[in-house]
Amino acid sequence: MGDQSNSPSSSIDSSSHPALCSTSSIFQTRRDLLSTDLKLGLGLSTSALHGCSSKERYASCETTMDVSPSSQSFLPPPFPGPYACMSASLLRFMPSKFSSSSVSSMLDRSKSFCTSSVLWEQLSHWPPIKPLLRSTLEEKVHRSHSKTFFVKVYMEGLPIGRKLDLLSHNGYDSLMRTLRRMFRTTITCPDTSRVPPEKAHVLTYEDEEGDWMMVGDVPWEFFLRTVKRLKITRADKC
Amino acid sequence: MVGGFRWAAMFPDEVWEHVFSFLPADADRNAAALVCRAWYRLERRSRWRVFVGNCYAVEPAAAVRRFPEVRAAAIKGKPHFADFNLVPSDWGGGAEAWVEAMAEGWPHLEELRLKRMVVSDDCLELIARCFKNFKVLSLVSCEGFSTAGLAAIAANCRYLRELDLHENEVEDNCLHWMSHFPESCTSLVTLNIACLEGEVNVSVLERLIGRCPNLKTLRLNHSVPLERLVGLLHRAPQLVDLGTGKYAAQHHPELFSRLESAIAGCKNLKGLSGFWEAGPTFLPAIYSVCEGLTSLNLSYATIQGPELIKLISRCKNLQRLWVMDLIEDEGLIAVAASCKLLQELRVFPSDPYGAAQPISLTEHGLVAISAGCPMLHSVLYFCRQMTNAALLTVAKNCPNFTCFRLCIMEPHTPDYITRQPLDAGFSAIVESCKHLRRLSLSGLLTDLVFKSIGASANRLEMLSVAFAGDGDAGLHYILSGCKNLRKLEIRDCPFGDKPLLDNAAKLETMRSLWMSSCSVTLGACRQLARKMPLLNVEVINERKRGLPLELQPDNCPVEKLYIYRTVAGPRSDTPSCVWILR
Repeated sequence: MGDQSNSPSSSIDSSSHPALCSTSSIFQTRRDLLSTDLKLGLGLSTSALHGCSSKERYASCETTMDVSPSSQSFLPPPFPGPYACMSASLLRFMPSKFSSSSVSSMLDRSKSFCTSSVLWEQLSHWPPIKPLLRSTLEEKVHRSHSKTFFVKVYMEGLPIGRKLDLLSHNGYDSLMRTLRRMFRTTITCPDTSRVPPEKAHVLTYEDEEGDWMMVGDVPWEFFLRTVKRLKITRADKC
Repeated sequence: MVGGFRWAAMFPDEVWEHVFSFLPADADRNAAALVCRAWYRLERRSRWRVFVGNCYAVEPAAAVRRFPEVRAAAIKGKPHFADFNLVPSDWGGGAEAWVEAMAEGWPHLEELRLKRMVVSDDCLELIARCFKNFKVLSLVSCEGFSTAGLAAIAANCRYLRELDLHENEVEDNCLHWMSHFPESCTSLVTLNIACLEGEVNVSVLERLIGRCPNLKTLRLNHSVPLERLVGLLHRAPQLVDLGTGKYAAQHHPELFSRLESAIAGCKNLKGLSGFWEAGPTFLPAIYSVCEGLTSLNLSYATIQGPELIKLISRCKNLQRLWVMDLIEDEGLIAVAASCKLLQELRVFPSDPYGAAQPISLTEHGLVAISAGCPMLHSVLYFCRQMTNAALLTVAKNCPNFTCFRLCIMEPHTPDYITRQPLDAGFSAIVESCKHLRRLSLSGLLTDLVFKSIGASANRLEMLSVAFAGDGDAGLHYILSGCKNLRKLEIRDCPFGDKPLLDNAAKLETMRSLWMSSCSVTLGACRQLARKMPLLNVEVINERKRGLPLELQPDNCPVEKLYIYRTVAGPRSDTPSCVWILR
């Protein structure tokens, strides 16, 4: 069995990474066979990489990668459909607490398994695209995913509020649909509504001046700039 | 049989040199040089173009000594997988040794092309100082230099014709490097600065290209705004190849019409690239030149399918198309209908990590292209699904492939309909395409595919394998077959010691072998190195950086292995993560 280096960066909190959550839960279900947690040598998540130049990014990925030499040709486990499965390379990150014979005896050549693409990207320099293209794409992803704008939403009569990302909607219709789903109520415009005012709800928002206004009067972009939080109130109050 | 000396004396030397000038291919010249001592002597004095596929295969001084009249040299450094960050950054490939030897022995050098090498500013300064007749500098996928080095080239190379910087990592520390081109510089034919990250002084650039009437290729970087492109095009309407800068701006109709007419004014335009951040707004500005285009590179433009179709359907003479997978199957069907002269297609992934909406680019697009484009011979295709049936159809439609690279993005992906490995499909490709020189495999593959490749791929020169095979047999099939194999690069395959040791002699007939994340042990590498003195066996183990090689046990697994033939012996510039076994 090869030696196992245990650099300080060699373990990450698996709960901080969504893909790893699912893989570590697999190991928990097979606790009889696998007795330790997954250790990976990644100190970086994708978002942390965006600050540095592409060269720094890749250099730091390489130095924190912690490849266990213990296993040779690990084969993918026969996990069925819904579980996120692990591929040969990922299994190499298991510490040498497992003897290679116990692991390879439980693994058998399965031709149907899936891998977590995010893990692949971070660990294996795959798929093979050149740095210039890779960094161009990452910039695009960064630009499109980096903005969120969460606001609090309360419904009258309910003490516990919700939070909603306004930037994941592209207009008032989308916002209304989501809110109706979240609060299971119809939200209407009181002037056009045929529902009696006592039963209807309307959507209001608090603007930067602290005033409560009806949602829908100003253009969506303008609304995004001024809204601080939302409240669903009974129509007869308006 | 006529003896060597009398053979040569039939004609004076000049006649033989003239005869040899008709042998442009290095392989033919190498063969001529082996005929007799006289021909060796004549050939070496008349060779003026040299290609060194691996900078460590020969001592620079030896190469310079053997061919004293060289005017053009091309040298490659790092292994191909360095493009995907699999090679440690300090591995090597430094250009100093070569540039110093060339400065010493080839003062009349005119052209230098370096690929995947570490080129320092000192190297560039040396080039600028020592080669009085220097005309062509081409740096591809290199690093280690800055715009200060470029300033030295600009200032001193009075007859510079080509400055071709392609996909390099260049440090930006000299903002005004382009101002170093003297007013007397009027000889530029190619200026490619697309990979530079920093700002470019567009006014200086305008004056430069304004005084270079022979400028044919101009590739800008993304800092050049669209508004300034108009002025540049007015000064260089003779351009044949244009790489735009940023291809987006606040829309206003005036800019659009100025751009449209500037582009239309370039009547010789055959190639377009760049298109950073291109959207549908300004794309129609190039419609007027589409008919004449032979090469179109949209791989940085995240334009959606419908706009792409509108654009590409106008490019009836297109020979080379590089595009994002946003073109989808529908777009490729349109390409197949419009671009009957298409020879090379590359489809890149817009979302390699699968985070966004799925793209409808499947095997159908590839099949459509193979059916509609009879001259297609080179393909690079990133997709998420494939079937054996599709590959069989492609193989039947395109027996003339010279380069087939398929990358199914999820490793080990089988035929999604039959759930079988893709052995049958790739086997059909190699059996049908007798001229195949380059092949990249992907998807779920067993040893069977390697059996077919070893048996049928007789012209194959470069093979890339990842996440494939069942065991040693796979590698053995390759190494015992593939007569013309030059470069083999393998990652994450269960190939071990036995096929390497059994086929040691084969490795000397190849330029290089790369194996990473396979099942090779140090002991086998030691054996191989002992057995084959003309190979450098480099074991790269970043985790064991700095540890002494002698203390490592034979069963120590090898992370990365790079084996190449050389007459230069072990190199002296190995970093701490590389052991060279002897």
